[in-house]
Amino acid sequence: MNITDVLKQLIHGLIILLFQIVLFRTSTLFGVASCFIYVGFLIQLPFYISTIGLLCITFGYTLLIDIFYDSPGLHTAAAVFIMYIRASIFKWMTPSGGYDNKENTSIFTMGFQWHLIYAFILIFLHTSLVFAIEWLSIGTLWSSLLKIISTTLFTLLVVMLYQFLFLYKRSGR
Amino acid sequence: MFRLLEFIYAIRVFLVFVAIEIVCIWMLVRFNPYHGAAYFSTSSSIAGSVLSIQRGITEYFGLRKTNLELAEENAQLKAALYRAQQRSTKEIDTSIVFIQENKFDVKVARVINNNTSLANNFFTLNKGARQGVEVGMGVLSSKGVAGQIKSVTDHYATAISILNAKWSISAKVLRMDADGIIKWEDDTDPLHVSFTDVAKHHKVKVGDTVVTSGYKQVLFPKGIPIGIVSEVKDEGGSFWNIKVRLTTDFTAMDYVFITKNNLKVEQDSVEAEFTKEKVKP
Repeated sequence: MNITDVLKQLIHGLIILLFQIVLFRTSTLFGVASCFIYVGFLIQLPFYISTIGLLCITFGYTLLIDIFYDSPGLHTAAAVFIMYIRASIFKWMTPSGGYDNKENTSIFTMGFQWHLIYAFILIFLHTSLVFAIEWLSIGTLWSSLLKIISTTLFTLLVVMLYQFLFLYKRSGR
Repeated sequence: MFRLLEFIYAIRVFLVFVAIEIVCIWMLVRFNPYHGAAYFSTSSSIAGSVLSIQRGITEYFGLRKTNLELAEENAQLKAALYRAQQRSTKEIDTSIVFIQENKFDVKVARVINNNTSLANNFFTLNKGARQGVEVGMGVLSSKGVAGQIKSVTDHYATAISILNAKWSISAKVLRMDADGIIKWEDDTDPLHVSFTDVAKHHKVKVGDTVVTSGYKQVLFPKGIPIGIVSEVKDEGGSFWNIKVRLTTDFTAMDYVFITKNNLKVEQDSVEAEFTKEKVKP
């Protein structure tokens, strides 16, 4: 871990934050599918950060997003949860070669299929939690399920695209 | 001690996780009005539905008694109807009769939770704001006065029972119009209440009926029975010390009636001027 890496991640995070609050906050696809692109930033954070560090970063970062969404605690609760179980998912999905020579989890280091499953599990858990908490107060079960499925797929698509666009150069070194 | 610290250190990640989640949930409840409302209304509606289910199971054991009470009540209502029909043919020319008849609206509700063992007792009804119940309405049982609505959710309402040391109602002895205040003072006895502030010159006897006076508070129609005088004691001072046996059995309440005074707002507004004048120096 060196200073350029930290700077890169910081700028990366800021750009995603801008995308999330300027572009995706106000727009939904067909009125049901939102896009939580910031989850894509969180799940690609490098391996060498300890879990406690990850939880703190997630808490601060998602709280910023929550403030713009005007729902303090909603996205944070879900994001902290998925970052907490990320380590278990790594263990469960260990590829044949292990994680020895890898730094972060992009499609270029881990392979397209592995990353698709990994991102799907985390994004699905995250959106399920967000809409389940929302469902407690407003809305019906069916509209919540529809939102969970459509948002998961839309977010997954955007996250995979953004992996192609943003992380290509860094991993191609 | 060292082992404990070691253990805490071993699960430190989990502890940090739980702490952050607690902060999140606290923020959710504290800052998001609709989540906070959801949290509280969910908890109260869950409590309400559990009570409903419990009531649904236990009601079968009391069906016989309920039936008897309903039949009795039917008979009373029929009698009252005949009396009213006769009266309205007699007094057709006085407009006051019509006002009196339209003054109170009555709704039927069921008691789904009831308590008589505390010092301040409440009971829960299965009708709420959706059915038009409002805070402040009176509650009658089939045999007499029961209490007053204190809070209302969408489908349930909570009422203060007479068996509540913080509530009182103005009443009078039917035979001679001697008025006073009904209070619950002995919180070990759910069958009797005290009838205070009755002046000594009224000759109150054991066996007299105590009814609502209809003034001072406008919750109930005039003349609804509250209880029967069971004990009259002279303990000095200018007031009697009277005990009244309640006609409503609070330990076995089932169907109740919620009364709404349609003219309460009007009565309050016409009285407001005088109460204000009184307050002014």
